[in-house]
Amino acid sequence: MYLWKCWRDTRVKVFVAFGVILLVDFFILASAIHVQHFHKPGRALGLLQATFMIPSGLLLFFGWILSKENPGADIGNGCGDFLLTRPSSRGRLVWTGWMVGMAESVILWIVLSAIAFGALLLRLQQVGIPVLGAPQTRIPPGSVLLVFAIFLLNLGLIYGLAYCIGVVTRNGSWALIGSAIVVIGYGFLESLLRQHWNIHLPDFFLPLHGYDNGIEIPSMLAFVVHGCLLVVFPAVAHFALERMEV
Amino acid sequence: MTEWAIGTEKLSKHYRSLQAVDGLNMHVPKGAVYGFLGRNGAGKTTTIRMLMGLQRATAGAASVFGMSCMADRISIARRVGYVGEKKILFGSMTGNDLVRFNREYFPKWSDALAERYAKRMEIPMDRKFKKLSLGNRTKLCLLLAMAQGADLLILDEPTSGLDPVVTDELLRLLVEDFTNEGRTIFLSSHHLSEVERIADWVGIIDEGKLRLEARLDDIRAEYRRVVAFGRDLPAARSPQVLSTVAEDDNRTYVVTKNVEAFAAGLRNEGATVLDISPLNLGEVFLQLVRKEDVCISGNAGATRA
Repeated sequence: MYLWKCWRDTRVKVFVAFGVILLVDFFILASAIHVQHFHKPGRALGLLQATFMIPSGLLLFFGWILSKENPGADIGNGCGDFLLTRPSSRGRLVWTGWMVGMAESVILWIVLSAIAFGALLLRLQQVGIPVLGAPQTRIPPGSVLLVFAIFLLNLGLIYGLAYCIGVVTRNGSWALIGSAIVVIGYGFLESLLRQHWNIHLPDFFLPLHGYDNGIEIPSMLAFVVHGCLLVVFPAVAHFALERMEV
Repeated sequence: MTEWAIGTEKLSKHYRSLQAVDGLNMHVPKGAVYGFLGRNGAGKTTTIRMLMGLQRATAGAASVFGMSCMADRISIARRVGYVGEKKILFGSMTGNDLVRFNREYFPKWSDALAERYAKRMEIPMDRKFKKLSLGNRTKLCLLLAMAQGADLLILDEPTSGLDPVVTDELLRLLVEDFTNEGRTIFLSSHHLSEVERIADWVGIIDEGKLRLEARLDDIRAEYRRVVAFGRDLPAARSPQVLSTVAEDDNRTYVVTKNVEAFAAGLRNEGATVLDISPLNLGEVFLQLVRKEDVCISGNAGATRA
C-alpha cells in the first residue's frame, strides 16, 4: 500500500546514496590510512570512530533530499483526489512516509558504518594492529550509541522539517528550498545575535565532534529539545494534512 | 438503515464571495443510477468533493449510506469507488502497479474484474501512467474504481476524454456490472444523452442550488411544455410548474404533472393554449438553466420511490 509506494518512490535514491556514501567513506578512510601512521597513539581509534561519523554527516544530506517525497508532493502533483479517497487515515499517510524516510536513512547508516568499520578492522589487522581486545582499537559501545543518537536526532530535525514544509506547501521542491532557507536563516540569525548582542542561540544541529578519547557529549537539554523536534514536525504535518481541503 | 445511498441537507459551501453550493437538498436512492447535471461551475464537483470528504461543508450536512461525509470518510471510502474531476494517478506507476497499490485497500477487490475491464477498455496496463493518453488515463481511473467491489460509484465526468466507442463500452459495463447488481451509481456529466441512456434519476444543479430532482421516467411520462398566448398570464409559481419563460404575450411553461388541468386553468384565464408537447431531458435541462428571462419555481416534481 502506501508503505510500498514510498519504498518504490525512494529506492533508487537509497541505492544511489548507498553507492556514493560508500565511495566517499572509503576515499576518506583510504586517504587517512595512507598518509597517517597507524601506530600513533589514538590514531586507529580515531579512524574507527570516523567510520561512524562520516556516514552521519552524508546521510543528513541524503535525508534532506529524501524529504522531497511526501504526501503533500503527491497532492500537489494532482493525486490528492485519488490518494485521500483510499480507506486510510491521512495521519497514516504522513507517518508512514516519514517513517520510511527515517528507516531508510537509519538502515543505511547501520549498513555503511558496519561495512566501513569492518573494512578498517581488516586493514588494521593487516598492518599488525591487534583488533580484538587491544586497547588502541577498543571503542566504548556507548560512544557508538552516542554517535547514532546524535545522527538520529539531527536526521529527524532536517528530514522532519523539510518533510513538514513539503506537506504544508504541497510541494516537494519547496520541502528542500524551505528547509534550506530555515537552516541558513537560523545560522545567519545566530551569528548576528552573537556578534552584535552577545546572545547565544543553541546550535541548530547537535554537534558531533570526535576526539582521542571519545565523542563530545551535547547537553541533556539539547537532547531533549531535539528529541521533541523529532516528533513535532511530522505531528505538524499530520495536523496540516488532516485539515487540508483538496 | 437509511434508504438513501447519498443524502444532503441544506449543504452549502462558499469560498470568500463565491457561493459554490447553496443549501443543497439531494437524495440518491440505493440502487439508482443518478445523473447529476449542471453547467460548468454549477457546483457539481464541489458537491462531489464534499461527499468524498475532500472538502468541508460551510453549512449543512452530507451523508453516504447514513454515514457523515467528514467524520466517517474512511468507512465511506471503503464502500465507494470514486473517480474525480482530475483524473491523475501516480505518474511513475504503470497500470499494473496501480492495481497492486489499490487492491490492498479493498477487501472486495477483484483481479478478474480488473483484467476484464483492462481488456474491454483496451488499457495498456504495462505503461507508466504519465505516458498514457488522456483517454487511457481516464479509463485506468475508472478501472480502479470499478474493480474495487464498491457499493456506490461516484463518477465526476467519467467520459471526459473518451472516444465514442469506449464511452459506449463503459456505459455497457456500468449497466452490466452495477445496475444489474443493484449497486448505486452517481455520475455527473455534461453529456445529457449518456445520462439519459443509463440513469433512472436525475438531479439538475444550477448556481449551487438543486433545481430539479426527479425520476427520468416521470420526466418522460409527465413533464410537458405548455405554450400559451394571452395578456397578463400568470408567472405560475405553483409546485407543478417547473419554469416559465415569458416572451411578449407568449409564455412557455414546463409543467411536471396534471398538464390538462393546468392548461384548462390557463384557458379559464383567457389564454389560448398553442401547444402541449413532451420534453426530453435536454429540453428540461435547458429550460431550467437557461439564463434569459426565466422564472424558476424551485425543486418541483420530485417523486421518490
